[in-house]
Amino acid sequence: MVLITLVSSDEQNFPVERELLKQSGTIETLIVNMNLDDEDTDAAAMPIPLPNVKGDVLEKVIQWMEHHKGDPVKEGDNEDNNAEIVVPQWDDDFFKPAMYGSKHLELTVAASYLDIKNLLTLSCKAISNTFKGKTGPQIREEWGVPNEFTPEEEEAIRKENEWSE
Amino acid sequence: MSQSTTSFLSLPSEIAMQIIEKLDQKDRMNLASVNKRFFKLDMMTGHRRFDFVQFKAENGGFIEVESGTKHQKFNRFTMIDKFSTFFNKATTKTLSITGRLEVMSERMLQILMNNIEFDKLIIDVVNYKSHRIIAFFSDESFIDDDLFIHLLSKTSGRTVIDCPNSTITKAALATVFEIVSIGSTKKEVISCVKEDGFLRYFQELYYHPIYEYNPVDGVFTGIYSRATAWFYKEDDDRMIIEMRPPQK
Repeated sequence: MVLITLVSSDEQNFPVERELLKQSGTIETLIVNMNLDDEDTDAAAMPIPLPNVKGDVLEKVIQWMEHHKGDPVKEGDNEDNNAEIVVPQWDDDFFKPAMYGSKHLELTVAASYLDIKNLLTLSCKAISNTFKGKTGPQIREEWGVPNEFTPEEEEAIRKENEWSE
Repeated sequence: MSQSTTSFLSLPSEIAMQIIEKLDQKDRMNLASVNKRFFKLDMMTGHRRFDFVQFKAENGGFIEVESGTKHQKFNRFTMIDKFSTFFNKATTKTLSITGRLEVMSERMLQILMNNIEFDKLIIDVVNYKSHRIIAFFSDESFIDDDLFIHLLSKTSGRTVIDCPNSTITKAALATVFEIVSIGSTKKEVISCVKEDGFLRYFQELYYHPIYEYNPVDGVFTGIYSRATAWFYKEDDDRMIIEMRPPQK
């Protein structure tokens, strides 16, 4: 089993199975470009720095990739039917503990940076699920977003989106 | 909770837009009212989902959009940019087109058709029958080959095109039968067309070496593809062609 070392922004080393990294478009491209699959190259001696991902986030990403080992990797643009995406139970449980905190958002940003399409799709869907059936003020409260609109602006928005009930 | 404040607001736009496009229209509007940034992002994100989009080609054309209990209207004075952004990659359960087309409304319709995906299409339905997913009726012979093929490429499953006064030619029928023959989209097409197109296409298949004709049931079968085309006249002398993908 070939291991490749990923280095997080806070300089923690994570040795990861080569196979798992196929899920990340960004890392896969690096591996191919650096010829790390070549038998003459000492892959372990050439760690891959990920200056945009913190250690605790990278750990979560690796956990997720381990669970999804062998899943088909999506290529090209995401043409899913957005209405039909369902977050599987395992992923839901995996995301939930940090759902409203910065951890889940960091994981989502990391998925985007590392180009792990399935993780990005599911974690975005999980976030969008938290908005279901909620009003603007409820969402503000849950996610701790200050209201920056004046009453006049709120009225203007209401007009702009003039959907009569 | 306080820690997440900055993070949620500083989510990169492309991620925020991915989140927005996964919401239905009502939830999207609520999210858009959270703050200025999400309001702008919502405007820029396509992928809106509707229950019903109605295009009325009267008075220069206007469009009514319905999602749940909410609805919104666009008319000929709506900026074209705003209109195409709104419908970019949109989907609707039903798209209905009625009325008479003129230059202005045709342009709006063109933009709409190029952007929106639909499950069900109704165009000025007169002879509506319950089993029909797509029904077409037009005295103005507004449906031509291009539109016919375009519509079929946008639908899947069982599709009915009912346009006895159309100008659909045998070439378009042949193209559609090719699409059906591939079988990958499980498309089944039932079209009611003008007698002229019906007879010409019948002749073409009849003299074509790669189709077998069974005179008992009036069905052509592709020798290689195994797809079938059934030609018959309905009671009221309506000419029907049913095309079915290869049976497994």
